[in-house]
Amino acid sequence: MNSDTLSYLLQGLTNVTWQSAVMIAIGLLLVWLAISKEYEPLLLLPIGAGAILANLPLSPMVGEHGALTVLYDMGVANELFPLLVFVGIGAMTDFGPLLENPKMVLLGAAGQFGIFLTLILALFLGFTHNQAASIGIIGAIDGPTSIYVSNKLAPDLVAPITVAAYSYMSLVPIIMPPIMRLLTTAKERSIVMPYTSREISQRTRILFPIIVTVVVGTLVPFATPLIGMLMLGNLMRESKVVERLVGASSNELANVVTLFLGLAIGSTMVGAKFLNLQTLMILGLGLVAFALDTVMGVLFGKLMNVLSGGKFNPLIGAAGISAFPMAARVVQREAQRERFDNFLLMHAMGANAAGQVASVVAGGVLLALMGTS
Amino acid sequence: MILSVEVAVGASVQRGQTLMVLEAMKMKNELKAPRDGVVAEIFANAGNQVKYGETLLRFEE
Repeated sequence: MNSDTLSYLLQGLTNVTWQSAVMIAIGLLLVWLAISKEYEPLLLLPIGAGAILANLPLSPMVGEHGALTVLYDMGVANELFPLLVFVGIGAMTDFGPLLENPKMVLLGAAGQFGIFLTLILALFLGFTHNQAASIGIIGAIDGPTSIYVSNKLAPDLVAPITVAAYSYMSLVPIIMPPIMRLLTTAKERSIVMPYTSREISQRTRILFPIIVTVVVGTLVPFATPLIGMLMLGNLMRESKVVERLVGASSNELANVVTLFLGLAIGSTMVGAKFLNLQTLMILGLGLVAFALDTVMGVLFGKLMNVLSGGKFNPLIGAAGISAFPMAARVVQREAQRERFDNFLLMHAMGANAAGQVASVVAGGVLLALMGTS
Repeated sequence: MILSVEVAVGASVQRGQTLMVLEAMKMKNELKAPRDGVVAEIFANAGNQVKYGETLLRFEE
């Protein structure tokens, strides 16, 4: 045993940098948030794990032949993973409440304004156009869309953007209610909206994903991959003839890809790249984006209330975002706090489903505006 | 689906009291009494799948 052998044996210890130590701590924080606070554990636990694995000294998980690098090249670099997750999401979504109440599309659109307002704010703070757009898309409140857009426009920022997006997504029940209560009067919150179920024919349910894909894909070609995959999942669900594929998409496929996605994104959270002012600003702007979405949604809800002569509960506006079905549940809870016999859940679900589609369109619009392919 | 029935036939209930808990859209919804009254009949049990428009509970007149 000589000093060379000794230094080989100790090379792990000698290669610890303070940045990697901090990143491991951040990875541990994410894992703790996932396990203890149950913050979006499906994503945050793999992301945290990937971050820890990638930042251990001389980690063979990253680098040219690392396992995490393989995962990254397999489905993050080429945008495949978020698209596959979207198939599962479409297979799990019931657009019935939206089809029963097509007006909710307007709330879906209003709920995306936070994206564009945040984009402008990010530009003011010195980010480039592409970076600002990638930060703005956090306001889509949709994991795969945020990953897809930011990976195309600002791949270096995918990790902080994804962490921000999923962290705040889990905080939706905390972020939204104060804003909702601030912008509405008790009288407005008490507006009772009766729900009468309209049977949507299976033909309509099948035509919806097809028509949306063709229309959106033609108007906003950059949105075709996202909307196409989302609607494929939905078409499979509504066709009722491919239950095995629906099952695989919503379960096996979505779960496996989510695991790979989290690990791969976590593996990009390497010391110097992550630990800077930029990341802090992204975390701050992400929160602003979420808040602005709620603000614009509720304000638009108030407008719809005025236009309908006092028959529309503005709280529903807050559900016009893509956090499905969490946002709808939050709206239902807040409305029920005001009047226990007011059940807005189905109306809110319609707005929520609209928000899902609208966020994809917004993502495509951003990509088109930034002029990239 | 009905998750639980919180009252029995003959029970005297007050406005706002939880009568049943219904699961819909993966959310627990508490169905509360719209007025004071006495429960006359209960039509659903815990574990039943119920349809839109179904009567779940009847008050005495």
